[in-house]
Amino acid sequence: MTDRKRKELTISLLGIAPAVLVLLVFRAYPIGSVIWNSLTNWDGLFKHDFIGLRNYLRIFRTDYFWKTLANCFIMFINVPIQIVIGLVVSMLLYEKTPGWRFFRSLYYLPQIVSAVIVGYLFAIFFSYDGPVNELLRFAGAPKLAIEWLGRRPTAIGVVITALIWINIGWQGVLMLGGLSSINPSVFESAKMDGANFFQRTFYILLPMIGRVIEYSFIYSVAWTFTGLFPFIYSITNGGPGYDTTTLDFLVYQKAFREDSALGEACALAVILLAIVSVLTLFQRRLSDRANSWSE
Amino acid sequence: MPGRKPLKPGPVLVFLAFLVLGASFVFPFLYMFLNAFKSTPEYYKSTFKLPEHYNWANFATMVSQFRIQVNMLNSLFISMSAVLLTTAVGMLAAYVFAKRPFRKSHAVYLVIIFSMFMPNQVTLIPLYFLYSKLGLINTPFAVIICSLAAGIPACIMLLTAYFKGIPDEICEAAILDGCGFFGIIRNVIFPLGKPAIAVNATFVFLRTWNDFLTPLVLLTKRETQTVVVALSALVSRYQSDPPYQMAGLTIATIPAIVMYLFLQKYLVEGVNAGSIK
Amino acid sequence: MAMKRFVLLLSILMIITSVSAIAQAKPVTLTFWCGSAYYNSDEAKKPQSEWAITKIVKQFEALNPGVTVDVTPIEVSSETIAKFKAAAIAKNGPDVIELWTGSYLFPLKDILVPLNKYISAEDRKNISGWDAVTYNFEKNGDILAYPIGNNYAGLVYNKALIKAAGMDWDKNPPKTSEDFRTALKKIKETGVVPFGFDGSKGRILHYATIYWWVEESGYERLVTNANGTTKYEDDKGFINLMTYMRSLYEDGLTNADAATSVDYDSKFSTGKYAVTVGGVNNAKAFEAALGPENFGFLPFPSMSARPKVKASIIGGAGNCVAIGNYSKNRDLAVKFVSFLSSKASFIALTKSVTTFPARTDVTLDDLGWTNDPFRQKIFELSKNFAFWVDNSIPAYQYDEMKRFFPNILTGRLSPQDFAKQMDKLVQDKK
Repeated sequence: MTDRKRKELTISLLGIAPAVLVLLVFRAYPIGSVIWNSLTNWDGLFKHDFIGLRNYLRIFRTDYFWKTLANCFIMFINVPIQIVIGLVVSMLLYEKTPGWRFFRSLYYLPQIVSAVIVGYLFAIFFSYDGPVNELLRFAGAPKLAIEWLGRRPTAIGVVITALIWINIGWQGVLMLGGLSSINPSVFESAKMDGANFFQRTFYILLPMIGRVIEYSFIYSVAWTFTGLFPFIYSITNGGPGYDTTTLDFLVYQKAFREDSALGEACALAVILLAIVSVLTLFQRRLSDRANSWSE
Repeated sequence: MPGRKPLKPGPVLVFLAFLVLGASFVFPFLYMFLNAFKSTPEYYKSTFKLPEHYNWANFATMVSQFRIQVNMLNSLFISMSAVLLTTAVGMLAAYVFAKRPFRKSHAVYLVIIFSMFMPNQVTLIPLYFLYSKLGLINTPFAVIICSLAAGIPACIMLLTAYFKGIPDEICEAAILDGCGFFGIIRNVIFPLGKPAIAVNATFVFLRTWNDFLTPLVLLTKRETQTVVVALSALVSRYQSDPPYQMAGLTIATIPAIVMYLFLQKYLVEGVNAGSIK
Repeated sequence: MAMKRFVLLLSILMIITSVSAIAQAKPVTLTFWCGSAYYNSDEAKKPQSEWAITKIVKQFEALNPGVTVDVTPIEVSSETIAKFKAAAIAKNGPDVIELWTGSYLFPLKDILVPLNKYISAEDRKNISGWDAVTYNFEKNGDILAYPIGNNYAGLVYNKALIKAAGMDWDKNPPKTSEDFRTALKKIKETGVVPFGFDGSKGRILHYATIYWWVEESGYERLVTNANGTTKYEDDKGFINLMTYMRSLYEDGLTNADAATSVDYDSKFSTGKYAVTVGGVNNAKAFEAALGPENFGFLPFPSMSARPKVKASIIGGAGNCVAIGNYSKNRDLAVKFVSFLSSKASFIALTKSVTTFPARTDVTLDDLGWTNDPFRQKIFELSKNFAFWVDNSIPAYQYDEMKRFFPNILTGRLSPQDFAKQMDKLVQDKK
């Protein structure tokens, strides 16, 4: 009996072995390595001495780090906006407006296109001679036709617009899924009782899909820290100055674009890792959600 | 018109709002597609007019000169391999977590899920040097493995949840029929788990196809690059010829859109299952 | 019996080893990462087999049977250099690589072959620009590469548009930076953009206007600023350059999108800008678009009252080819690099690539430029040039200038504050 049990256990372990092995080699090892290297003055070549926390201390002294961090927090504006728009969209979809399936498909479209392509389209659209300015000039407001990507507020605005634009569909579909799990009879009876759209929204829908919103919020915040690279790369390239550089872009910049900065790049990566890990700890509900799927 | 339906104009307004929002999603793609037909002077004259002639010369240039088809094939190979590997590895593990839990297996599961959000930027620096030592830079293998490592956690989460819903009795019946570990997977788990596997495959494919950072760093030779990475070379090479850029962007977008048309159902399900974007 | 078998085994082994030794000795592959000094942007759009460099490589292969050269086109950039470093420490980098000279090259000393003892006397004599590839510009330092393309840059203009503004810069070019400003104002009245460039890509800096800094401050000052013994903050030349560029933007004498432009060259080609920055390498496209009769080169107007450097053009050997010190075919690689830099190769290359050969023994006649006024003029001016400023200061410092230049143009960062920021950067790096 114990022999059989042991054999069963061995088979189970062998079953998860490939996944665990891949994650150990391609996730755990690099993370360990990055933490170790963040404590060295590695220049990408042969200089590789332990220098303790000096990289971190230097990073905390620089202006660009704090600016970059500030940019990340400013970029968070995209999260509430996309959630609100996504929520409104999902509720309207839920009301089964004519053609709602078509609109749902349409809104989701940007999600399946590569973020870089979306980024390049935004860069073209908001370039000085691009369609947006052309429209503004045509509409008789040439004063508004400015260099969108040349100044911090407008450049960040363009990036945020892109983030919202690409995510509305995702939010809409996600929230619609949440709404669909609500028992329709609750909703119908409220409608019968003469509750208008806003009453239905605030008193019935929002409380019931609170968990979905919470999930979406945490997910989107984590995404804002780690998923912005292609947008920044294609729209502003982090510029002007460090005005639109985000932490994930900065790691790439330091590691693969500038000389002699690999130790520092690793330290930045560790900081990014720490932030994302804290967010992930908040995310325990995530697995609960998945568990409820099959029901 | 006594008070029964006070919100009569509502649906019309909503429909209009939908249309306007919808237009904002169609317009950029339409703009990209139509301007791909123009010549450069025509583009600069007006970007909003319809093209005078629908000639496919710019697309032909992308194929004959930029050789974008090579990059498309790379993308296809890398994405398909990532899908197959992720599914295989993920399915094995998910089956164990769902149907053959052992002591501490839940802890292992949680650790795996936790690694889902590890940003690629963090792991890429050491991996780049590791691959470089092994001579794997500029090979599809390097990207496939990264995609596998990034995709496993979400895959396991999704499949475990779904496999848990498969009744134990079916598995037990299969065991009585003499099925071993792989027999159960082949005869029970895979056929019954197909919907979740399809959802996961769709997501892994799209994510790998659209991924930018990992292949950007790991593939430096033009002929080994994926199409999304090649686009950055395209955009800088045709800096002063936007129609060519548009043609290239269009070509790179089409496969994803085609996939979307066929696999939309799985995407919607995937989003609702809390899968990765 | 056992003995017989042993001998048989031994002889088979020997045959195998000798065959494999021959097989190994015979075909040698040199890997070559070649950048834009060897192919131009038009070629880049065509299949690689049609490029001029491919033909030159074929010749080398024909002269050296058993040798194949694997040419990988790259864009020399900080990204490429970072990747080259990673490949080099893994000992699987290219045998031969194109790089930038000066301060971009020196940090790579530990992974490159010092060429001093390999360079033939003939090459040393006939090739120009050795100082740009000698470690830290020291007199007898390690030579880390062969200099290749000589690019020269300055201000280029559209003669028709200058004429429309009532000027003739062939006869009467603006002599000082204030003359230049006045001239730009005149051009503005005619309704075209006087001075168009791309501040975000940094070309305006490294191509051209950065000359005004070194004109006032001199090259020694660049070195002392860079190592922290003097300060950017009280470097008059640096502040003047930035202030001047800012004032041009402020007065509306530049393109309105100078901070983000990516297409200044096509705008200049289509007659939307009167003046832009340019050099030998983009001249070809400009000439083709404007017609050679409408394309002019403007020697730098002087900004300084007491210039430390007096030149009318900026440039020199900006690119070079180096050999990785992990290369298993070091001698062959040297032979190849020397072949690439031969007079014949350069002349063949110059048909497609626009940079000037880095050789002292190539005449205008050799290149077929005797009836080419633009290149003649450059050739003449290049006898007195200022060396690239960006190749003279550490890359991280120039990166910072490039990155913040748009903010200076748009007035979000004052030149003084930026100079302080530069000093802080230098101190932090120490």
